[in-house]
Amino acid sequence: MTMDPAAELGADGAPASSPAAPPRSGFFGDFLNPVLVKEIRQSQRGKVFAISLIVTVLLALLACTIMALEITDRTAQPGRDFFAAVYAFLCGAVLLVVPFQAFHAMGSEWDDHTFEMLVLSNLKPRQIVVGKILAGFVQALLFFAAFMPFLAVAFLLRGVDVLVLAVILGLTAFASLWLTTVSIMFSTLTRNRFLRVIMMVMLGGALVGTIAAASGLGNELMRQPDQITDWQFWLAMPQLLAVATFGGFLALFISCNVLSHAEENRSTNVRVLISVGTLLFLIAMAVNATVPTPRMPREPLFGLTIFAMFGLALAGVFLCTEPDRLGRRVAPTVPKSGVAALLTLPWFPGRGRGVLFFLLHVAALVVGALCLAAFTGGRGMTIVGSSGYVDNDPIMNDGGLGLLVAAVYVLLYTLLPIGICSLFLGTSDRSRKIVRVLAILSPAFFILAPAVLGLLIGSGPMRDMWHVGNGPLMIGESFDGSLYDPEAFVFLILPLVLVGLLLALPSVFRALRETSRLSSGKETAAAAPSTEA
Amino acid sequence: MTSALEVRGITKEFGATKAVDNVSFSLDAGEICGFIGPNGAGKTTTMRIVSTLELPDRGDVFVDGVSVLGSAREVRAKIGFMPDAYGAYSATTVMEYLDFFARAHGLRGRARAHTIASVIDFTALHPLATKNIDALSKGMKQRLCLAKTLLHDPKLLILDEPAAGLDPRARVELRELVSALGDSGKAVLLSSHILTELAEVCDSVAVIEAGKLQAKGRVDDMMRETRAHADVVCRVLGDAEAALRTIAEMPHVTGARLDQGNITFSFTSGDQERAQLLAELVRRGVQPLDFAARDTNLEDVFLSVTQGTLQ
Ligand SMILES: Nc1ncnc2c1ncn2[C@@H]1O[C@H](COP(=O)(O)OP(=O)(O)OP(=O)(O)O)[C@@H](O)[C@H]1O
Ligand SMILES: [Mg+2]
Repeated sequence: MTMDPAAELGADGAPASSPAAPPRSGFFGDFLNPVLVKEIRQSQRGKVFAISLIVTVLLALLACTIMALEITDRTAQPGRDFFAAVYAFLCGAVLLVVPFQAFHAMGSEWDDHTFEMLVLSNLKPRQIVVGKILAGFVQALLFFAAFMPFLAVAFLLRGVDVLVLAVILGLTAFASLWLTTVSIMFSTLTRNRFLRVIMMVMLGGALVGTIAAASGLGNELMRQPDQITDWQFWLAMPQLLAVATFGGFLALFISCNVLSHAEENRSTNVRVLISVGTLLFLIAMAVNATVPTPRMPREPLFGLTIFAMFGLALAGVFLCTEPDRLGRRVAPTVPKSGVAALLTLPWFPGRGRGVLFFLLHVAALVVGALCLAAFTGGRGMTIVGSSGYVDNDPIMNDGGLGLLVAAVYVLLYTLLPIGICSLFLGTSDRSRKIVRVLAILSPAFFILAPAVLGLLIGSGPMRDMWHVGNGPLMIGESFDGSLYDPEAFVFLILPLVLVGLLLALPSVFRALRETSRLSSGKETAAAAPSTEA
Repeated sequence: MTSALEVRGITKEFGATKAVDNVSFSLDAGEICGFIGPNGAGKTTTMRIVSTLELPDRGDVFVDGVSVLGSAREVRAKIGFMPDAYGAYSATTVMEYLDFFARAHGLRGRARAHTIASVIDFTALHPLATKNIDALSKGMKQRLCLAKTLLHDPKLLILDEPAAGLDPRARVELRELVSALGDSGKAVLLSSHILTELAEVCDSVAVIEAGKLQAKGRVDDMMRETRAHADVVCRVLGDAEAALRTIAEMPHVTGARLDQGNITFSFTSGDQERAQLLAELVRRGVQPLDFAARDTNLEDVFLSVTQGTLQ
């Protein structure tokens, strides 16, 4: 092949165009996500998708044929059995094959060294992740389309309610999208092949479990269509979907942040989402405590809040172990007005700001739940005599104390291990990962270490994990208003929490100083010569 | 005018290894710079830092005045990086591959078709446009990768070992492509082990060893400097031992030795002095048959610089 590159350069130096090459905009519009276009083209050309589509459809066909042969007069509503068989295969396709494929598609970007080319091509992490999710969803839709004839047959065989069918399919599509998002998040978390294989096995197990659960639920709904007309269904379903949507967005944001440049803001989106989630949680609790009859009692209100708080603690471990300093691309985004900078401070990245964010949200949950319990007229579940609920039982005896104790343990399990480990491990990327793992495992340490000590010194209750290090035990015990071992709680646990707070304090100060320096950046720059002189 | 590339004191450590140690240099528009150094010298690491893929522990890099730390996205729009190990998507044709990256760079409609056509022309990939990437040879893949790198018309090209694994003809073609790019005003930083190849295409070279930049300058300057310290081989008629003693006494001569009848020595001064040396030897009765300085090439530059013998 001979060529003369110089001859093909235009006068301005840019490669000259040649009309010979075929312009190919093709069937994909200009404004579609490039990753989506690429993934669809690849799956068009590749064999995996086509084979899995054909295999599942053939299997479904086989199952249907067998079912058809077994239909007898005794089968009152053959459509339901038919649906059960078809739906199981549909679940297998959209809840296993599609998320797995997405997991693999993201992972192969690492393995094939193509991810860096995506980064260099200036695709935003969000475009990459959303492109992959949408590609998975398109595949799911193709599966749905392929299964439509079977579902139509099931419907024609009677026994299948259209509304129920629509609800089931809608929920299945949602589940597929959700699982795809979460699978992609998992595959962004590590570039290590070995870890990814382990993750893949675990994910496979979880997805198979999901299929079983989904097809069970689907059939349950199909057999009892009245459930769908029950108002409780329409009260619970949006709340469950909201929780799932929250999780999905969290997974999406985490994936994007993992893929972002280290100097970019990799935290604010997650923080805002958690704030919104906290707010939505309190609103949902308020609705449950006021709207339905009977209203939600105080105990589940506090119980759910405690759950939310531990979820928050998990996020807190990550936020409270971020690097101290703001990235170079983040620093210029700090508001110039001092008040605005201070008000938005907890939502900016960084360890000290993470601690503030975490404390703020724990406080919001505690105060919010206590206010709801006090002002929405919710009641405890304790039934006394024949008169029903006790109206004026103190809040603390209906789980309020449990909530407060839970808040103490949430702080104990996060701030103390993070503070102590950071003292010894430094602040490199690697040591931050170790601190995170240690902090997440620390509850086990708090529970097991005294138990081992109890075994050594022969203390029965300690050996049986009846001690103040055991948060779940303490929370459960204090739910009715009486604390187990109050002396140890006050003189051991509370001081330890205080130590955790003190250890976090320097980074909080650093964060405040950094923010105030940045928000008054212009002034100091202008005033610098005079102050130095 | 801002330089196309300015590397300012970058340092990058991987655990205990200092992969790059306080390296600074700069490139002007249209300059083709060879980046040479032994294995593990830190070439790839430096190039990855310039390409925003790795963050320096200290220092910063400015591409056309834009910092890789502060504005990575802007920098990426200005650079084209061709890594040494580049991936290719499976089940994708050459055309689809280029189309994807053109879309990723935000090219739309006719502009995209036009750009793809021109890079295909430039890299002569025309006959392969509908071929599957998996079926391409290494040289063809390299070309495709170069085509992809050119899609967004970058001002600075960073090519990591582009000639590795290419046959001689493909290397010549690559060299032509690179010099055409330099002529078109793009700055090019390319690393290679094949030093003779670099000499012909490069305006300047930067030599790096153990993370430290040993030298950076124009190719001809560096050759001249190296020649100023040439290895001379001399064959004489008559008593070689006596001639050796005479030569060893002369100024600027070091390490004179007798080697299979040839007298070999290092001469640490310029051409003028070397001519005087020859005249003086003849005057003292030495009868030289041959008196030749070995031709310097980039390899000598490289060897002398990396051994630290250059003053
Ligand atoms: N990701 C990494 N983790 C740990 N060490 C690394 C990493 N990347 C590079 N190094 C080390 O940094 C040093 C410089 O490596 P680099 O790849 O930059 O060298 P190079 O000049 O490109 O070598 P070659 O000519 O072999 O390509 C080497 O000692 C290498 O082991
Ligand atoms: Mg290298």
